[in-house]
Amino acid sequence: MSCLTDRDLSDSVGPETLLPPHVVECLSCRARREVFARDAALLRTQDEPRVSAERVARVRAAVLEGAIAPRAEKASWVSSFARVAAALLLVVVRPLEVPVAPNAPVARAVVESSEGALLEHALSPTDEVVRLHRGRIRLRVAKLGANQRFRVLADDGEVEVRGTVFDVEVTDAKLSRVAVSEGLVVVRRIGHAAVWLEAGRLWQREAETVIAPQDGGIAPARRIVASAHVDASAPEPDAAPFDDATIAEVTPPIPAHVDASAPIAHAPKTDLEAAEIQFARGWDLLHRRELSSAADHFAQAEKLAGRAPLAEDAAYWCAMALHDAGDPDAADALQAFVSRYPSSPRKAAARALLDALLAR
Amino acid sequence: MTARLIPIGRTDPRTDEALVAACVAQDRTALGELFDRYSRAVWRFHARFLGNSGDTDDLVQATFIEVWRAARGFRGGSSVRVWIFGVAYNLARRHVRTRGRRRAFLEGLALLPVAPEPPLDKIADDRRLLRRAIERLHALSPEHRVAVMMVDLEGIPSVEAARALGVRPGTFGRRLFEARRLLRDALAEETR
Repeated sequence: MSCLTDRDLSDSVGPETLLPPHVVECLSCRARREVFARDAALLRTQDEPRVSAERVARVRAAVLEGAIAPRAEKASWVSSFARVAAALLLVVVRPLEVPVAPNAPVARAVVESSEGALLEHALSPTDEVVRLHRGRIRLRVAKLGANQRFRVLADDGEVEVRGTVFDVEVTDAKLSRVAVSEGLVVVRRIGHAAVWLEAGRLWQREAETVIAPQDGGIAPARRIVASAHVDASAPEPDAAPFDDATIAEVTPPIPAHVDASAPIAHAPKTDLEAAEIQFARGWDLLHRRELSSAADHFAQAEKLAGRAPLAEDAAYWCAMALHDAGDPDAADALQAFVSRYPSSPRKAAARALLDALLAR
Repeated sequence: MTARLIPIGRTDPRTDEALVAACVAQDRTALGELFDRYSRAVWRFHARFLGNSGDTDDLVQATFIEVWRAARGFRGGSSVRVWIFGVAYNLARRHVRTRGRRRAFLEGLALLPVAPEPPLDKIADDRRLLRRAIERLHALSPEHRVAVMMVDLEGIPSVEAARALGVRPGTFGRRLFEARRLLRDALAEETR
């Protein structure tokens, strides 16, 4: 067999490439190929750029500040023409069935929105998120797998469920009401303890209580196609407030025994609930820059969470609070986090902070 | 006041794809997580591509804001990591072109760090050789340079890198080969 060209040899150098059989036997080709591999290895000996944790934190904050809602794309005449042509084609020929890729994520929720609701719906195989900007929606969420999540996001918090039927209303981009028909829902808001809502419970922001809904009917709802989009054409929200009456028709009927005077955050039934509450308190304190107290709550949350994934979050934020407070225990906390959660996506950030601390 | 979502109740670390999907839904905590995962790699990418750390922070910031903005267009044709590199490359290339920074980054070559300690590989013992390789890398066109950076420095398979950059695999392979050949010849001269 004749020797390979330099181009062929170059193509055989790199990740996921196979060594050509000829190269195994041909000393000349092997030597020429080695030159390419050696040069690449030489370049890899460059130092990593030195970036301080402060620089990382500054840029990170700037990124999050700069992340604003993307503007709706302006429709060009070409795309408008294409849309019209596609619509005509659909009408003239026949309704087309859109093939679904075998690995395409499947929506686990049916989302119904009342008039005026503005939302986005995005999903991946393991996560499904509805971002509700305003208005009211009802969701019927199929049973989720162990690694699957479903959440409704607003500016001031989120609602997470594990297979249930519930209604959410957002006013001024903030959660205002959540009513649960089936299953269990947790409402988490910045600066507030997590609220667990069972079937038949209604949470509302103004009253800060969990109450039993009254009789009434729900406004006509329309089904939203489960794909990522912005309903930018939706009209302004209804002027009339979302009163309790709209909740009661949620099926099945709300049990009559619901205690209207029940406190918003009932006593935690499990260590995990208690951990969530400790975490939420820690988070609130962290935002108020009461760092030492925040670290204490996060440490409690980690302890209570046991092996639950929340423990990892709590350990990370405990270390961050100690770091920001300039506490001498921060290095130990970061080291503990890195050792305890080696596969955490935050390991690199913790490691960078730890290195910066040790370098000082 | 800027509101932030509470990142609690995580049942497991979210996948990269899930984070991109959450970005589409304007979940800024997801963008923060993507930043935590890949900011270091993006920093490295820009530092190596531009050879001038002066603009690196701005470009890292611009890269993640662009990731946020362009998340809706992510089709899963490559891994999220490689897609982010593609975003970073487009910004870096535009940066070089529009601001005429070529001179600046050539001047910045002198500031590039070299290995402070000899690495295990005997070839890299020669700092002069490494410096020459870096100089040669930065003398390449952006298209050739990014080919070497993505495959040889970041360990991304050629086909995936080509897809992320929007070029045909054959074109990408040719650029990679041409870049490697230029590096090889330059280093051969140096060792002569």
